[in-house]
Amino acid sequence: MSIAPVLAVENLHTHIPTPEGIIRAVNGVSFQIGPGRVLGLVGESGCGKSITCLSILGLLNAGRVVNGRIRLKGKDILNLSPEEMRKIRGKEIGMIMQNPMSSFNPVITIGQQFIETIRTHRRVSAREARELAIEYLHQVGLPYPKDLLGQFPFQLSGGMLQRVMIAISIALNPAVLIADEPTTALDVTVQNRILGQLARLKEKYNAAIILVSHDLSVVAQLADEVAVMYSGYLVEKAPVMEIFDNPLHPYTRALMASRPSLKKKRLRPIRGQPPTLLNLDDICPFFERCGEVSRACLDYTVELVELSRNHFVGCVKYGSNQEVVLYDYA
Amino acid sequence: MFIQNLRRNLFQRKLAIISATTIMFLIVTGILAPVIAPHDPNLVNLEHKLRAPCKDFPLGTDHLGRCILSRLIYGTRISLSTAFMVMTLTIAISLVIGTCSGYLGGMVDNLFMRICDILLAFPNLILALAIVGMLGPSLVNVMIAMVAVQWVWYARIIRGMVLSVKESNFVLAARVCCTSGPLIVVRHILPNIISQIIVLATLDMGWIILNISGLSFLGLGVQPPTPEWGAMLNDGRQFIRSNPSLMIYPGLVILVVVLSFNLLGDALRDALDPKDAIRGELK
Amino acid sequence: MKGYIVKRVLNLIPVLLGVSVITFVLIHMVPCDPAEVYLRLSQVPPTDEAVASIRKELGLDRPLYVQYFDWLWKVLHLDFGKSFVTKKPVLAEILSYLPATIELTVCSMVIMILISVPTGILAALYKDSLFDQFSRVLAFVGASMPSFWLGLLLMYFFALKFDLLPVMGKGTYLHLILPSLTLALGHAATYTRLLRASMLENLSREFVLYARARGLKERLIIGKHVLKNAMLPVVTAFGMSLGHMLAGAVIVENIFAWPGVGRFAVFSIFSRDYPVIQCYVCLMAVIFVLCNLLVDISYSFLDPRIKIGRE
Repeated sequence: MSIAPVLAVENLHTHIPTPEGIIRAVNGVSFQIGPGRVLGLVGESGCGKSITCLSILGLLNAGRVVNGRIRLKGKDILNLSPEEMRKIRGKEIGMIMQNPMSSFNPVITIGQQFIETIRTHRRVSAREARELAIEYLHQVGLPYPKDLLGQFPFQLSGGMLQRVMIAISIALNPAVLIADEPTTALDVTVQNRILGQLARLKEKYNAAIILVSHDLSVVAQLADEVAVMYSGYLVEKAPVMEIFDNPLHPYTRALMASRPSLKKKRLRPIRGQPPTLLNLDDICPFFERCGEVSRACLDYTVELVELSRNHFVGCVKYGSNQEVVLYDYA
Repeated sequence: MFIQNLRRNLFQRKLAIISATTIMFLIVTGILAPVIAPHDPNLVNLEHKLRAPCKDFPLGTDHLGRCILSRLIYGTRISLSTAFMVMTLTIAISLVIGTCSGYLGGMVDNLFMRICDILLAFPNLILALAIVGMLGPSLVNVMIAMVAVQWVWYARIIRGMVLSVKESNFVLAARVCCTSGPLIVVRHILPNIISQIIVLATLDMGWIILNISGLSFLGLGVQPPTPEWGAMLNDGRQFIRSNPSLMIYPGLVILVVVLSFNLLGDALRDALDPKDAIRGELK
Repeated sequence: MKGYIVKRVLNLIPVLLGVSVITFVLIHMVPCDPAEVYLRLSQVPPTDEAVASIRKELGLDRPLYVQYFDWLWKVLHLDFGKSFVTKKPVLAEILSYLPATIELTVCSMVIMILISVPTGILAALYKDSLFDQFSRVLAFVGASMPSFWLGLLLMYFFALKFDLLPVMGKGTYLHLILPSLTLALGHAATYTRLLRASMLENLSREFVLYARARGLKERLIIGKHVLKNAMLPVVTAFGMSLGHMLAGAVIVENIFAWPGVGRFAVFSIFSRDYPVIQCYVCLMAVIFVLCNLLVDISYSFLDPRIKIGRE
């Protein structure tokens, strides 16, 4: 990548203390995104995708970043004061939430919530903010934006609210946009439209997007690069075509194989449950469910190794001191 | 941070044990009153009137020369037994009505709920006041009034609980197996709501004791010379300037008793989580 | 919205009718003959003829339902009969005492809100801090304390021991302080707990996360977004606590010799002045119901989901 990355996450470790012990939610995650690029962050529920995003935004509730660095446009943002961090949120790093219906305040109008966001970050009068809001709502394709401003969240559908969230992010024009499962709560027809909006965001505003999803097809449509997470570890990272053509990590391969397709007759789920993130041992986290284990897995800490251009894998099979074994997965 | 949580849980458990012990202690005191009390609570002896705490009278005497400690001890009997009776009756009535209303639904439900709406239009204590007013001041009438007023609250809550349990899968399964209505209620619905009712009952004991002593304080409950905490406070009113202890001790006792019941009820509520109750049933 | 108000008002009618029935039934719970009582209170020996003639005069010899409709008709014309003791119209007498009670109740409500709202909110914001734990303990103890004891204690310390405030009766605004404080403190405990719980619940809702993710100032999030949601259940509880206050006023008026309806009602109970008791109960119920209606209507203004209406 010849252009400097907008967001660089290096070796991020996030721990959450609980009465039962410390949950190691994020273990050494590293990635970079350039402007106008989309990184798809993929994994099961509980694998640490959302916590990674919250860590970047500094919105962890009980959790704490215990190690690592996060750099926005070259500047370290992990050690900023709360007020400085607040100024970055929304303006430099935007977020779109998973559940649009519950992300808005139910007793305050959409317009008020939009306008106050604009006025928090830009010095404009109330009337100017209102005009801007109408303009952006129009841009995301919402009908009758003027009327929309006076409505309450319960009066809009999930898809419309999601588009309002996108409109709010456009209004602030952040360098990075984190989209946390933006289509999970919506049905398939609306899904397409939202993905289209995000694509426009990428092209028109050159925003770097982190697209979090457990749905590979969503990621395939939009992402330039895909990072696969498991148990808080980043286990594979590659450009999107590469990862779909040539998945290397056993987990990635299992994910690909479990997708429903017209050719296969039966679904092939990944058996077993993800391990609890408490007290992870020094074995590979995917050991229990992996179909390709060997004895070496029992003493392996996930470490990303670059195999081919920009294709990183964290599996003992591709260890730096081992032979590379590639084989197809039917 | 979670160490704080842990400490708090243990502390709460300790509080629960302390309050349970206090209540047990009070019950025992009430039962053994004739044995424990140093004097006859109704023994009037004007020679000893308004004495300060001394060896003979550990908490002093009131304006008629009666031993305050003995009166407090005997008062335990009255307060706890009447409160218990009121609560039992209230729960019995509201259980029947609430369960019928919730389970049968339809016209029966509508009728009972309308009645509850109307009774709830009266502020709680005022209706009790009026009932006592009509029937005449006496302890029994206070008890009747309280039962008549309290059952409405309970019936509503129980009805709500029954409604939610009614929709559970295991109840539907029982109905599919043609289990008779009353059997379903007894074997499936009641066990699931019993724990919540126990919590409510414990919390309510405090409220009942406050109300009974309140009405007695106004002179509408126990009649003299029966020793009762609220009535003792009323007696002590006239001597507030000279002998404030007459009103301090009975009030303190009421506070401790009500506090214990409230603490116990809170602890029970935390412990008997309804989710656990339902899971227990499914075993 | 209008439909909602109309519906609520229409619902009132059966309730009020029910209230009237209960009030009417009350007087028939009396174990002794009201006619006899009337005679006794008028210092007339209750001979059989006298009782019979009074029964006829008071209309107590007619069938129940006739008596009820007759009574209801009179009540709708605001005639609650005459006091057995003073022989004056009951409603007028009670209404003369009502302003004092209203003054007491309103003042107590204000004090209660001033104490519990900030405390509840701060306890939630600084959860588990010393302030939070202290206020929770205080609230718990306050909810378990008999109000009459609290009143006497306050009276002892502020009036008798240190002679700061007047104790009995009604006069200057100073007289209002102790009674309203007594009435307020007991309910402040419950309200504080309610507010704290409501705030905590709302602080963990998803819209707070999104508000923070948008970079809104924390003061705006808590002061506007969270508070607006947290206050909703509190407004509803407002109506209920009004009822409790009206009831609690009876005891407080008694302790501090405050000339309100509660005190008058208790006197009437002792003198077996049944018409007064009847009117008192009915009036209190009507006031309670109307206040609850007002609270419900204001709530519907505050919550847009009801105001704009969901089908």
